[in-house]
Amino acid sequence: MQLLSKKAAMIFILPGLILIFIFLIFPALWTFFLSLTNYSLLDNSLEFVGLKNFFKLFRDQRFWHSTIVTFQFVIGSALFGQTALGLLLAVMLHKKRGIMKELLTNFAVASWIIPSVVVVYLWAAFLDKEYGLLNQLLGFIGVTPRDWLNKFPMWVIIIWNIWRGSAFSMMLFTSALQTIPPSYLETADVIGASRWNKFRDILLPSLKNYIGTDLILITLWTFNLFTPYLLTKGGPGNATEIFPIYTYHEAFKYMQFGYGSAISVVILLINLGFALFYLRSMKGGKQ
Amino acid sequence: MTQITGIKLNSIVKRFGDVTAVNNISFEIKPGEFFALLGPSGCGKTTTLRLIAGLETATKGTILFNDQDVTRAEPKERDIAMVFQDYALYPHMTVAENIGYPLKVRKVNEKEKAKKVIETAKQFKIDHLLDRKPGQLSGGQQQRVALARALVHQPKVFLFDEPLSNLDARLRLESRTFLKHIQSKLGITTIYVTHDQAEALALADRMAVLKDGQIRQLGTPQEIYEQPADSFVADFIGDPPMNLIDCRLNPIKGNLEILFPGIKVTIPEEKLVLNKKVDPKKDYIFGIRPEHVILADRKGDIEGKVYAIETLGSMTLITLMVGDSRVRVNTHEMNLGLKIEQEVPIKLNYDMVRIYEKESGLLIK
Repeated sequence: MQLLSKKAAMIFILPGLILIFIFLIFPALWTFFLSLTNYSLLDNSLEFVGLKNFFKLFRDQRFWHSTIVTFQFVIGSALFGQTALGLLLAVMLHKKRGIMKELLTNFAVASWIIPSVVVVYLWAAFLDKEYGLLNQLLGFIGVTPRDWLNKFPMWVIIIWNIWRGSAFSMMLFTSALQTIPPSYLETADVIGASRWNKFRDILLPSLKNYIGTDLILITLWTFNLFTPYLLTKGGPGNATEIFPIYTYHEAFKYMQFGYGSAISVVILLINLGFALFYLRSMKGGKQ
Repeated sequence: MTQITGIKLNSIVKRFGDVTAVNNISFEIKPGEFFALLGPSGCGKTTTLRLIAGLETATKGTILFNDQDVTRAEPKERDIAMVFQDYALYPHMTVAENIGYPLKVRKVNEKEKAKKVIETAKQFKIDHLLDRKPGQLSGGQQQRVALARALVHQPKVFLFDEPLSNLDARLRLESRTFLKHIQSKLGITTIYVTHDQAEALALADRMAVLKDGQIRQLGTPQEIYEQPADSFVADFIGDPPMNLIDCRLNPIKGNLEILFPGIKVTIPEEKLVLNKKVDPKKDYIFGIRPEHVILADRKGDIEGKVYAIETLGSMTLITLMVGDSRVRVNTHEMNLGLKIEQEVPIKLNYDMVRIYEKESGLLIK
């Protein structure tokens, strides 16, 4: 059945296409174009320089440092943090009822829906060296106060992001678990399977594709997350200068738009690589 | 070989919040018996099975396996196997991995596992499917894999939760026969939950008919078919169903008047001996199975008018209007030459007539 002629259909989707072009495709192309120039606000230059920015980038110590820090952040907070913790919470709470589940779910979701700026200031207050709640609490059990934000900045942003984002993975896995027929686990119970058996042999394979989807989303989000800037400003020094912050510094602090664009393009390619890798490994398991 | 287990349920009660799913049930299953739990949906039959499996814990009462109290034991401590309605085959495992899973969980070594899997698969004639995934199998094959997986570790008790209801009619019959064969051969104590009375009658050595969390009748299929203990069981068991007609009974001078809607029959009292004094003001239900209503040649007990004739192949189902009630008659004669609206005399086999009190549903003959 054809509801609309092709022409009419085009007219209906045209506004959407125009918006997508203006706000997504054009900026992306523009970024790509800028990455091949020496565009800078400092000296108002705009000259085509070819791949010079990229060659410079690959020789830049700060870029390699940023790469390492970014991967630490992504692997620590996205892979091991949000995905693993979210899965663990979802599996632990599966088929459970009662106040504990409600509390845990609500806390997790609350940490996810509170606006970033609010969260960051709460955390800054929590971690403050002089007046922070954490140091006060630790003081009760005799631990000496520490300057968490300056001494363990990487740990802080990793744990902060785990705390912040695990609710999403947990909710995704909770609904995925509900698609598994109860008889799968009950059969396993009757057979005498241990908890570990049930997790490894039944739940994990059944959740494989959901885990893939979760990894794609979480990895990309974490890669592009700018919020840690509000906690550490990329510092101290450039200790927590993850890609988005590095890009921001180059483009807006040093006004090197051409160079900043080149970094963005590299980030884009890395993201693309991740997405393709996950998609491919999900497909492999579908047979 | 497998040790044979008897099962005893003592005054089992199971409540879910305010809902009482099983209300004070007691029964005993003999070692090696094929026992069916039959009833409409929501009667508590599946809950009873799950209590025996250990997937639920009884609110009150005790469950014994061979005099050993297992009321609070985990499912795995009970040495049972269970086949669910959806078979619960793991879609990511091959047939061989599915069948071998109980052995894997029990850490049986690879060599022995492989041997047992092939042995069991051969028994169920699925050894050519071992490398496939469940998604590539037909419904009947899936069921055999589920059975094989359940039997591979030689359980003491076999539990079935409506295992045939996902199959089409022909396959269901075939699988039923297969189940009966396997169970008789292995002699494992088996409990089978179903809402299909024909399945229960066909398979069970003994069965319990449940309603509203209570047992309405317990007995062999024949006992339950011939002598349903109350009007619910009478209505539930049998296909075509029993004729159940509201009536009043009026004893007059050695005779018994049976007042059906729109018609009256008078018979000598000794033909219908009731175990309770009748009250002419009370309502009763007159029950007779279609095969015990006989088309008479000339003089019958009552006249009926042909309402419909249905050929069922091996027999003919004739529905008559007797007074204002419909009466089903089952006969093996095929060419009766009856026409619709035709008057026919019928005889009733009074030995097989059952009378129930309308109010309590209780059997009084």
